[in-house]
Amino acid sequence: MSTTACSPTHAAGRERASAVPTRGLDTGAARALLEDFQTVYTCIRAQLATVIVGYDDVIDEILTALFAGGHVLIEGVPGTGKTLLVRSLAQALNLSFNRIQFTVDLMPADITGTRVLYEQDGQRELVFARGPVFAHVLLADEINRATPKTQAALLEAMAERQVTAAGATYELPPPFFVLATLNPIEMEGTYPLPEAQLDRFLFKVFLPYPGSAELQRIIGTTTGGTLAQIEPVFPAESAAARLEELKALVREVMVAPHLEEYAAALIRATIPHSSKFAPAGPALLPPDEEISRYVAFGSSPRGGQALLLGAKVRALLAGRVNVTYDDIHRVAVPALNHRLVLNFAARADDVDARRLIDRLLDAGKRLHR
Amino acid sequence: MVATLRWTTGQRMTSISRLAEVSAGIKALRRRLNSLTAQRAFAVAAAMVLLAGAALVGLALRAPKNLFEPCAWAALVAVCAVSVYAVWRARRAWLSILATAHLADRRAALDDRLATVLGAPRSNADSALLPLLIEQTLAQQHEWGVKTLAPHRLAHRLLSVPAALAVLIAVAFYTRPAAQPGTLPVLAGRPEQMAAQPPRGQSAGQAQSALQQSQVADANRGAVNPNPPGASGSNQPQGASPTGPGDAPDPAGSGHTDQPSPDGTGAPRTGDDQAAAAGADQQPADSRTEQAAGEPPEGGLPSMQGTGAAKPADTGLEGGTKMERRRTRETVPRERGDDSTPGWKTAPAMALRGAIREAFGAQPEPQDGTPSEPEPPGAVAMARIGTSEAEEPAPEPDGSGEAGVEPDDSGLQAELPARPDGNRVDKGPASPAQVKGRDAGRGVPGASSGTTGPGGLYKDRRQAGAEKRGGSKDGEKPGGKAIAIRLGATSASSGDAPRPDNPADAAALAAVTSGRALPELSPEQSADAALQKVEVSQEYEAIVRRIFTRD
Repeated sequence: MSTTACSPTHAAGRERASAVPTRGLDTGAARALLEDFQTVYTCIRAQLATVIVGYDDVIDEILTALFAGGHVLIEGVPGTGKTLLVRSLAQALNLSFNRIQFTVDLMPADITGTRVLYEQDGQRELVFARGPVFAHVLLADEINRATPKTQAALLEAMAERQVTAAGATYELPPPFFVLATLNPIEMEGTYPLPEAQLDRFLFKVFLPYPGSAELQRIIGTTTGGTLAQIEPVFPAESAAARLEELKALVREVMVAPHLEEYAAALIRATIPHSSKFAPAGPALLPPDEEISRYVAFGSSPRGGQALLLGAKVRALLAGRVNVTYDDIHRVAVPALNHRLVLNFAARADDVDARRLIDRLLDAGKRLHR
Repeated sequence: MVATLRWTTGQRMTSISRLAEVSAGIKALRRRLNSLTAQRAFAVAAAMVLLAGAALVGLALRAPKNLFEPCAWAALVAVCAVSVYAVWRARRAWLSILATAHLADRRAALDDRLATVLGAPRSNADSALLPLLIEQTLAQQHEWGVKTLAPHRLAHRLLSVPAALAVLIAVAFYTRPAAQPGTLPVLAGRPEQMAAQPPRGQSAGQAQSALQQSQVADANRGAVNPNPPGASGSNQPQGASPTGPGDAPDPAGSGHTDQPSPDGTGAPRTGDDQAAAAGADQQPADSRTEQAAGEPPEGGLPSMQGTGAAKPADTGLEGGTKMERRRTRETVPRERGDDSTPGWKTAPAMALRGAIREAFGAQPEPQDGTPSEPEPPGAVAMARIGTSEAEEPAPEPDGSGEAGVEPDDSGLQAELPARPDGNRVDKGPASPAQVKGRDAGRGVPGASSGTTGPGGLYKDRRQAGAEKRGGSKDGEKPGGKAIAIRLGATSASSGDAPRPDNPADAAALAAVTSGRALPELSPEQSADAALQKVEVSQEYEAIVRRIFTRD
């Protein structure tokens, strides 16, 4: 598999990054890594744009979660290109890719793998047959159609990046990136994801219906004689390492103490003050009335981690090595919307979690101004 | 590759040195900004102090005394409030290092780089990207340096201090008192001669000018006087009718000019009290009316209806009865306009006012009954020797009111400060009881509220002349009854001539004849200095004695 048109630039960046002495990192090398990150991101995005029409924000959010080291839950109606998007991403990254179609009768072993009797040279032994979870990019299609037992099989893999089967633990090769899709219709016979599993997704993105212009382009490009092909950004042999390197760079981005405080305040503000689990002490942001009325449970600390990790990616993409308020605000909705557990009042009033988060962000903007 | 992102010792040292450079720049910026904050707070407080001082100077020099006290306290409260607010604002605006970094980030659009760099030792000390961040920050130092964000060492708000000082100087300049006349000479002779003689230190032109000014004011008073002089048998002299806003003319024309002061002490009302008195005086049945009507309080004085006496002698000269004293004690605070004001509240304001006036060379004002400013007995006391008819002097030409007479311990009549608004004490129509009361027209000092009756004070020789021209009620002895002498009111109050064997009278005479130094008078009173300085000749003394011993 050949590399893409982005390869020369990317290769130069890789050389600069490789030239950094192992003893440390000077400002020139850091600047080279920063430029390399931006270049890789731009190339991946450009490759996806050849296949995926529109959905720029969705692609940004998915790539942000990818470089932040998290998993993404994609919710969208059928036929909007969820599977295509994930497959194209795997092709662009030149990483291994597996797809699991979740159904009611899917068993955990169908995901993680199982021990099978293997016969070789007259010798029979039980050998662990790896399941589809052993891939760099995993598409869990319509994850809400599997039973909770099967869904839970992904918990360990997503959180610990390891699989335990028949008493043995198997490490998942980094990078491990899970993209699960949810179908909001045909809800009969589905099993909503438990909150614990939802919390393990870094972002939840929504894939709406495309607009008129995008729809015209989609039906035009997908019904022609030639289909667009994704060219990988990384060579196959170094793709995983390169991606891990960029992920490590993301974690080097600095966050000022007051921004850490602000992210924590946002998380704290998602918790209704009437909740018995609400923390004691004053909050930086004032309690929001709608949060108290419509939210049953707020975000966990994982939400704060998602905020800062996503903000760091956005900072690198902006050419900065430090996080700002805007970076946090840009990733707040995908990082928090699936972590707010709404109550029946919210359903009755048709209140969306994203609206509540927007209210919090408005309050936060007033605060830091 | 991840290992390449770790720090080395040399890089850490370099980064620390550059971090110190950023920190030094922020500290310098912080010092400058906090200095400006402190300057702004000082400027606000100082400007407020100066403006309040300007207001107090203006009030002390031009406004009535009773207005000064509330204004002084209001100014004090305002100064304190503004100062506290300025300190509070300064405390809120006081910047820490991180707050300074935030401010610089915002103003220089640094995207929180400075705050991140300064917070790095706490949360990002091991970041491999810190050198890059420091370099980016230092590269933009010209945007967040002291010279860019706070180029001025002095806050612009400091200009408010000299501006307020200019206001203070301007107020002091425009409200400063005019040059004070010198001590008036002691004259002998008739009042007409005295009027023609300018006071000591004052030219004849100045005296004439003051005389003309007084005449103009007299003319103005006459325009609003509903009672013509001598009309309806009134004892009011010309211009003695009520002039205050709440005053009503005497409907019966019977003259209520000898209506005593509310307390019967002869102390003039202050401006504050007039508002209350305006309503209270319109109720004829109130205690003061009863007192004026000669309704004897329990164990009180016999009615002296029709005698024309302003007050029995014992109330004014000998301290009065217990009732009168009690009334005096109850009323005097209200007369001062601070019936609910404790002394600790009044004294500082008055002291401040006195200090301001003294500093600007203004004429000191005697304070009503205030022991701190005692009037020299007999020095400024004046008794108008008259008949039994009640005669009331006209208000002050400048509207500053009339001087009252109150008895002092020596039995002399002390000249009381002029009423600021020029209103007479008497308000509303006089009841017959007021007219015919025991105090009516007796000329007893203290009983006539210091404004009317024989016990009242003529501050102006022209008033005496006017009375002579207008005549008394019965028209007898025009121009011959009322002369002003420097004499205690003891004799007048008692209806007797001053007796040399009377210690009080003797003291008064001694004070009069000794030429004792007079207290400084207000500009309006300066024209009366000559009258007050007059030395009574034997001829007039004989007249006086005849008048008071005519029975």
